[in-house]
Amino acid sequence: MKKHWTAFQITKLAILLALALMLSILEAWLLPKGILPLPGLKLGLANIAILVTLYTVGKKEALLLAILRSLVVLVLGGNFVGFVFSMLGGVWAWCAMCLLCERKHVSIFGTSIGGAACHSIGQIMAAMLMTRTVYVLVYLPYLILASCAMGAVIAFLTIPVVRALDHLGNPVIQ
Amino acid sequence: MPKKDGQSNTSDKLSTPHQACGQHLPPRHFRFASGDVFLIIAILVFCGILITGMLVRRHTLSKKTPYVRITVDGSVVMNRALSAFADETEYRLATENGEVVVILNDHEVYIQSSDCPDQICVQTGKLTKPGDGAICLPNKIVVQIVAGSSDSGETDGKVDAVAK
Repeated sequence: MKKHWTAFQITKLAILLALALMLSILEAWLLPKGILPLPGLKLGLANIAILVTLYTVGKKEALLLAILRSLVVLVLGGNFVGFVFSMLGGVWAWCAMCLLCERKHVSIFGTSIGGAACHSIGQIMAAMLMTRTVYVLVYLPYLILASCAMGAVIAFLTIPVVRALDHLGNPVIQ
Repeated sequence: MPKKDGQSNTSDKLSTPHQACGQHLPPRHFRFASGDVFLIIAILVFCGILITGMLVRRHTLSKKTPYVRITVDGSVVMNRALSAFADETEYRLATENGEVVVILNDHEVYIQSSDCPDQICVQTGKLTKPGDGAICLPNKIVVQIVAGSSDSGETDGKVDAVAK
């Protein structure tokens, strides 16, 4: 990003980051730990903000948002383990979503589901790094399946948002 | 896609962001499409194969002698036949968070208590067959039951603290 950012761009990313953080908090509040059947499974509400950024602002900005979100959560009383998890998951999900959102026949649905699947691959990798054992891999297929369901829910929630922004003439796009 | 076409004259557009530049996202983003179906099927098939493979492996392993293997941060601290624990044994592992207590007897293993925030390893419950395992991520401990062949030999030395 060689170009200087305008105040408008910075503000818009800041708003999206705040949205992502708020959604993280909302999620922790709605679904306390352990309510979902698989360890490590999350709804990933914050991914709404990332998806909106990806579709209406840009790819680099989406990655920046994902990284900043992990960092801010770490600073605001997260633990380091959680940080490694959300970083690896987030970066993997971003790679997948970047590839998918360009495909002609893939909608926000596919992007969200693919991102969720890759997020769980990243999380399993983080767990393998943490425990230094490969045993954790047995969770992988279950985690992928469950996270795909979550990805579909997130897509349901994201589509109206992106559509509404688009109808507005997409004030965030420029 | 987010193309930044109007970058050259951004400044005058930025002053009135709501008078949009007529740029709309292609409607394909909002419609469930063939690529989505392919993606979902691919993921389902991938997971199906993995799960089937795991179930088959687990079935074949279940006929072998169960060994219990405990790994802390990648190093094996215990690898013994489960039948060696005729009496119920309490195995304590000191960790940076506190202590993890594993209970072993001749037919099952479980983590009784753990000083970790999530308690997932305790909720995993009892491990009885090869292929079962409990993971404590915060403490980097993996307790698993593996099949017969003691590939790394019977090791139960260099333990932080053992109590019967």
